Amino acid sequence: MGRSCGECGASLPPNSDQCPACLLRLGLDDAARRNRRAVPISELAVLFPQLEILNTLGEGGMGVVYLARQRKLERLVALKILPRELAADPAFADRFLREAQALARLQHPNIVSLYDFGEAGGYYFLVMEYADGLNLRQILLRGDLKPREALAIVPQICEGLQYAHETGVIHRDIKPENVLVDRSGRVKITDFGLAKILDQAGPSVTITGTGQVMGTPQYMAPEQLANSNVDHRADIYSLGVVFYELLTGNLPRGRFELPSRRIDVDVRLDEVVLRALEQDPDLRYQHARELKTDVATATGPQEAGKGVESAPHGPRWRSALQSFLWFTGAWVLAGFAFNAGAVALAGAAVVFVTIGLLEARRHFPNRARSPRDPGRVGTWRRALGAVAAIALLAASFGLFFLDEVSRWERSAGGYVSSPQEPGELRRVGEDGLAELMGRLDGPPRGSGKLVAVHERSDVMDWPEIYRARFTWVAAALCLGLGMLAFAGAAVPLQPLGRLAAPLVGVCAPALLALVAAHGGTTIHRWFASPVELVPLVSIAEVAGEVSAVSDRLYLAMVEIGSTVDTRHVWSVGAPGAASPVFGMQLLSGQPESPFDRWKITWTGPRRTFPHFVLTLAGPTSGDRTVVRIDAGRAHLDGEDADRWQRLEKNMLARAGPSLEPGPQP
Amino acid sequence: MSRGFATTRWSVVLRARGGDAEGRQALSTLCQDYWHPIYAFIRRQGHGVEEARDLTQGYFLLVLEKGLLHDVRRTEGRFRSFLLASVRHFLSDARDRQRAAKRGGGRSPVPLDEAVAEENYLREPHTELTPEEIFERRWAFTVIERAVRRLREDSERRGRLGQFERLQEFLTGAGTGTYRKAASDLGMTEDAVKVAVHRLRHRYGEMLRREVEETVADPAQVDGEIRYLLGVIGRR
Repeated sequence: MGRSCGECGASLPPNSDQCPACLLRLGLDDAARRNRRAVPISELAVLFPQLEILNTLGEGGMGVVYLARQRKLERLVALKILPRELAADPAFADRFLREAQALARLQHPNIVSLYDFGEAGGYYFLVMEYADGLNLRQILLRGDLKPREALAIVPQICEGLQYAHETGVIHRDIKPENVLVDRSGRVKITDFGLAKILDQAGPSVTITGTGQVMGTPQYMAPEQLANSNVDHRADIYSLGVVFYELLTGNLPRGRFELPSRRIDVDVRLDEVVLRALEQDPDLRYQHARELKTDVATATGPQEAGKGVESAPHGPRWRSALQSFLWFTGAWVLAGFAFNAGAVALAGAAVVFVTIGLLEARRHFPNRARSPRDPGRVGTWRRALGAVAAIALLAASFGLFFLDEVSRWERSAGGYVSSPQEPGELRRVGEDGLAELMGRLDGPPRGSGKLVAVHERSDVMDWPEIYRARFTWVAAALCLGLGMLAFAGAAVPLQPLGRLAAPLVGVCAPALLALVAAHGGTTIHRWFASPVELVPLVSIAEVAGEVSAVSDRLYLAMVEIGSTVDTRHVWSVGAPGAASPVFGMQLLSGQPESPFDRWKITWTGPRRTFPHFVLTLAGPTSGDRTVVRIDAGRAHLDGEDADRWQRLEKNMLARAGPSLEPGPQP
Repeated sequence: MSRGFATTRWSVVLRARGGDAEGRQALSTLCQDYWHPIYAFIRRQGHGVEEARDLTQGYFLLVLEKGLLHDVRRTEGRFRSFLLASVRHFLSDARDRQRAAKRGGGRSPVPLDEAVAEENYLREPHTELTPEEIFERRWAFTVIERAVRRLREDSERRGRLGQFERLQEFLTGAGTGTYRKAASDLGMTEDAVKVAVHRLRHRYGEMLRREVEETVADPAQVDGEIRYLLGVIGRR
């Protein structure tokens, strides 16, 4: 270490007598004032013999901060000095004392510790922990802060604030300048100079009585700007401003853009920022901890944001259309229309066929009628046959369409029936999916996502899987009958044609019942609808969600990876539950193929479970890994593994071979 | 230097977004002014003198030819931040680097005086500083050096070069000489010297602000940028 500047203490470059810091300071607008406020180091050296003053660290509203070394302890500290002329102002001195008292109460890794404070030679001073690093303003000015880094910083601020608030200290001046990040990345809040000490009655009036604005306007909560009676939620607002600025580089002024529109972050962070920035303190996060939790939820271990942004199933226009239809209610009407149409068509087919049969009987009571007598037969039979064929074909298309509709509705991305309640999703833990996936053989190629969580009312007790099969059976039946009718119409009085009429007559009522039931189920669902599709989140969150809302959860669909090569969640279950099998649907490969989706529905009773189990399987190897997941973390559990393999076997036995994993037809 | 005083050059670049000729010209001028920090940054990354020179040239070739302004959005506001981010990106892309080193060899889009740059670089206590810190320190010094040069040119224009040279040491309080000595050297009274020093400091302050202004998008950012650089200098 060479020579240092007598004015400000900055070290001089070896080849120059000019102090670069002083040279820079000359350019400041308020250079003269600043120069006057800094206390010459030579003067300080006399006042603080126990300290070796090394450098000027910075100048803020509360005074000048010097880097110093405590001679005996060999420890670097930050010495904050209140300039003498300001010390003469009783209000200022009061603030200074307040900072000291507030800081003295706080012992937390995310808050700058206070070692000493007092008055020396007319200067008030604080000796504080020295955080070797930068403040957030400096970091922002570097311009290379990544969203991920910002998201690592904010939770730490939350922790510091939460602690301070619990201790009864409000910061009241949270801004980038007052948040330090040391070289190890630890965040430390400093400058509790404006803190209001809750259990000290009333002094805030005297402070603001001088007409001085406390805090920094751009970062101040509305209620703080309006009056000085603020509580800890003002800090949360300020933190929201800082959060926004860290993410976007700008202040949230006026109609500001949402973070996710400007940078590549999870859209859920928009909600977090907006909630922190609520004008009304009651609508804001009530505790810093909540904000932290939501940031953690939104960031997720696998940067779930990417999944949220682009729904893997179906193009964007479809998602948009679905959302539109849903929100306008048109979806419900469409459901009605198609159900009604299908039922009407099937009904019409039955009526026509019945009439046709009766007519045929009336016209041809004698069975021994010659086939070479087509003149009297042709018109009626052909007309009826054609009508029946058209009706049945239409019904089969209607059924196909309905099935398609229900698949659309299940597909991820669009069709979010209701905005998520903040905090509804609970994250499993820091490591979440990464850990979970890490336990499987080989690295996963895709990322796991919960595609959808359906919550439905228990009146909808018809298991989805049967309903789906039903649809196919009914549609196939319609199609077959339609073709028979067509054949009968086209080839009059052939054995085939003769067979067609009674067949249609027998099957039509059954068909009508099927279609009506199908339609009824669908319609019922529109009404019962608490169908809730949660947009893509990581699998870790699936588990979190499962434990958080398990008593209301009926069906969970999980996708892991977008290629068949990745692992699939095979089953989700609740240990010890009488009916352990959860709805499970394998979503992989081509999103539009109906064969790559399975759905298993939770049919057990409603209850809350302490934890859930995911059985994960390699798609071809058949290796199973059972992972137990509870609210805190995911881990393997040998006992559960065994039990779950047993349960899974039972499940397979019950559900039949269509639930086997592996390559699909 | 002809146009720089009136316009914020970096804002010209930003407006052009790597598009028009004026923007490119402005960027090119800025790069010529501020290549020292880039060189120091590259050196600190572990590249040798030759290699660092080639890489610096190659980097500037990329910046100037390709515009390379695509990721400017996040660093909007400050030329310094932009350069740091983009050179970092440049160095992290091995392909870019190799191509640039090859192309940079022998070509010089920016006239570099490596000897000076190297000397400056070696002066830094680089064992303690990260490449970013070196970059920022070099940046701060470059700003100061350029401001002093401006002041010198300005004094020359006013026919006061002699006075500038004699009084330069009083720009800060760290000077070793006395006013009396300077007064006798310049044939002025001591009071006149004090007034002259005061004016010189004031004038210097203006030059520094102008210099800084050229590297930010908005004149309102000048004070913030100076404070930032103060932090950079004070950090050691």
